[in-house]
Amino acid sequence: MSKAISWQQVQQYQQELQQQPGHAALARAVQNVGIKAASRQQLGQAAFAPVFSDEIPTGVVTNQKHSGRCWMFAELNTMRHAVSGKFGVKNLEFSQAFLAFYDRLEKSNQFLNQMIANVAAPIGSRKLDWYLTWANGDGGQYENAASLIAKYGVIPKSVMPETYNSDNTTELNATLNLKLRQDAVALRQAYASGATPDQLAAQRVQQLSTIYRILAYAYGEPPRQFDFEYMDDQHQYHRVPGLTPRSFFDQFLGWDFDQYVMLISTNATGKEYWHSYTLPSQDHVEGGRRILWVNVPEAVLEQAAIQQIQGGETVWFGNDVLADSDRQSGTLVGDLYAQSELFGVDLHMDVGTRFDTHQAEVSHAMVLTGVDLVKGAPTKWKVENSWAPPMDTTATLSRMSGGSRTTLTQ
Amino acid sequence: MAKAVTSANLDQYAQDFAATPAAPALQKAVMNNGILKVAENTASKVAMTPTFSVELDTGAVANQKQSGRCWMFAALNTMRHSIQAQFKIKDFELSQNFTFFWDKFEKSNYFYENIIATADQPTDSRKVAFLLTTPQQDGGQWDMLTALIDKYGIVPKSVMPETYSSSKSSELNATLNLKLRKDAVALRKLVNDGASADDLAATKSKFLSEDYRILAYTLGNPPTKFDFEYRDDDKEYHRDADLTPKSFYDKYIGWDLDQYQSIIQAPTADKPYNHLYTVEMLGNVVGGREVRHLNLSVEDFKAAAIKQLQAGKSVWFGSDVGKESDRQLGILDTNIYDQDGLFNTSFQMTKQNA
Repeated sequence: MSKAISWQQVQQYQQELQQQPGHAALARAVQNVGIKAASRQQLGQAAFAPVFSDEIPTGVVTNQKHSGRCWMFAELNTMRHAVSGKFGVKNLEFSQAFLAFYDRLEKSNQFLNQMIANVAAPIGSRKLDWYLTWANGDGGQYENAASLIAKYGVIPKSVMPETYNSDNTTELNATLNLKLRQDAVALRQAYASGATPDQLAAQRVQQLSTIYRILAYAYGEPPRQFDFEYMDDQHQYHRVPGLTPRSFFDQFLGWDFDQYVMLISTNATGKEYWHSYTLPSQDHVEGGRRILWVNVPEAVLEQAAIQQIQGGETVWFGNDVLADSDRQSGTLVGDLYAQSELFGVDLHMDVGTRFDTHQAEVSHAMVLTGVDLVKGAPTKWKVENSWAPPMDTTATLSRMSGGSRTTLTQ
Repeated sequence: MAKAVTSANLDQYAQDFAATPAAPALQKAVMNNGILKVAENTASKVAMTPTFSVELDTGAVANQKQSGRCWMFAALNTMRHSIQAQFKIKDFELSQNFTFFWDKFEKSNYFYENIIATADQPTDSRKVAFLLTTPQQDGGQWDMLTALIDKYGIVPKSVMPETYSSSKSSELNATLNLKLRKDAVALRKLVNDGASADDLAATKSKFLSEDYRILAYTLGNPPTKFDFEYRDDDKEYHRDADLTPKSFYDKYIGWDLDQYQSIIQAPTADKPYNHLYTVEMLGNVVGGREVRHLNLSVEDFKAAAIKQLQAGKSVWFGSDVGKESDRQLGILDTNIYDQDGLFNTSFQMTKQNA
């Protein structure tokens, strides 16, 4: 049978289309309003109501704007919830521009180290190609935030506020990528001319000075020392002079990152429960904390999250927020869009298969701040995002019974 | 030597920064306004004044909206310019939705065949990961558009107009890619279980029927026969009845597409000039025209484009429009942003290295 599509086949498919129940009405609806609007489950129903048996107060929502710093905002959010209770300052925000500066510097360093490590590999080889394509971007994992904070500390937002570029990273990303690729060419040329490993390392250090300058223009230079003035919620004035980012972290947070473990739950091919996994390509801070994920069954993951919330602590979590969500209402529910029903084709896949086929990806990070337990089982979760309105308030995540889908609603 | 960024490094960088001429002023400008606005070069605006010695009259501009159909729009633009001139129909448009429908339909088949051909490889092999990450997307090449026209013809925009999804393709792509990934799992399993060629073809055909349905619901059902009514620029009424997409193409455009050759200017070591190149897994119609690029020197490349324009024919061209361009001003110029001057460093790269 030929591999090409024949006219007979096309005619057959057109006939089968005519036999599909309701095809004319359904086609009209989809052509007019699109797939999502035509297939969305009813919003505002009881299952999505934002009522939770256990929840942690969180205050005003932060806004990452036009940048990919969700992972950082989420971690800083968990920290500020913990701190706000301690010092009676409800909406203390930590500087995301401060961490972003060091994040881009460390990522540039990692990129250049990788260019040196792969300097003999031919252009077009898989690993080298991957690094050159993705050179330097906004994204990151939980461990990236932890590494940066452990190394550089943290400062209040008022001490290093957002700039045009920290809010809107497109232009900076383009400039950094251009610079880094050019640096890669220079390193490869030096190697081809016989440079030693020490000489290549020295070249890298030199190249980073230019990167530092670009970042200093974009974000401002991170302060080394500052005084911290604030009013607490009782309208009492406080002034803490002569802080450094590290001393501020120690004094106001005192977070021990060694007490935290990253859990994942996947049955994708080659992944086993109760095993740990690493992701070296995202260990951006050279010499810093490394990503280590412990893979557990879903029920274990859920229980751990419930216990943490009941213990009064919010939970950083990675997810795929763009799938199955309605931003307007802040609803995130598995099967929110009944596409299988709309098209008369079963489009469901289990979680493992979704990861194997690149259908599923961890594309966003948010914070779990509450859970609704009914007879001890979670029916939905409260989620704090870091986006502008309308999805700026909490969302809820609910579990479809019997399925491997989890849902989030607002 | 250590690989980590040390405090000594940071001290050095801070010193280097403090020694950079005009750093405080430049820093304020960039922090407040972003890189592009601050680096925009007036000299470029002067050089790019829109006056040309050779210029074709093209009428109103078409709009691909939130879809990646640039390659279709560009090719159909070159064709509609000739219809506008020959039949005197100002601002006439060909249906970019018609080609969109058939492109996605053929790309689904193309994807299935590639999946079947690589079924013996693990899902994280380079080729299979590539296929599964992006089963299909909106983009394409000149040769891919001509492959569609060769097989399916073309129709006026009024005969198959835009729908929600043709103007905004993200939801359709999400649905179709989900479907294709699921189908890929089934096809790989069939191959690895030793299914017969007939069983494989039958399963693939069932999948294609479902894809046809998804596309028909979102983009509409492409017409097989239609009448074409129009009033020309002299206000004369015309009605051409019982056309098919292919007869419409023959009558209103009638180009011998084999006479068109895609040329590229790629000065990389692995691609000597005056040779033909293709790209593996870049295509749409199985059994149709393949992507074929002829690599030329920059002098030959420019000369060919100039000659075509002088002969009164517009030229389809691929570019990297997101870089070095100002959309508001409508300028695409390597000199438009002086980042070298702004950051006191060189960003220059040869085309080969870039």
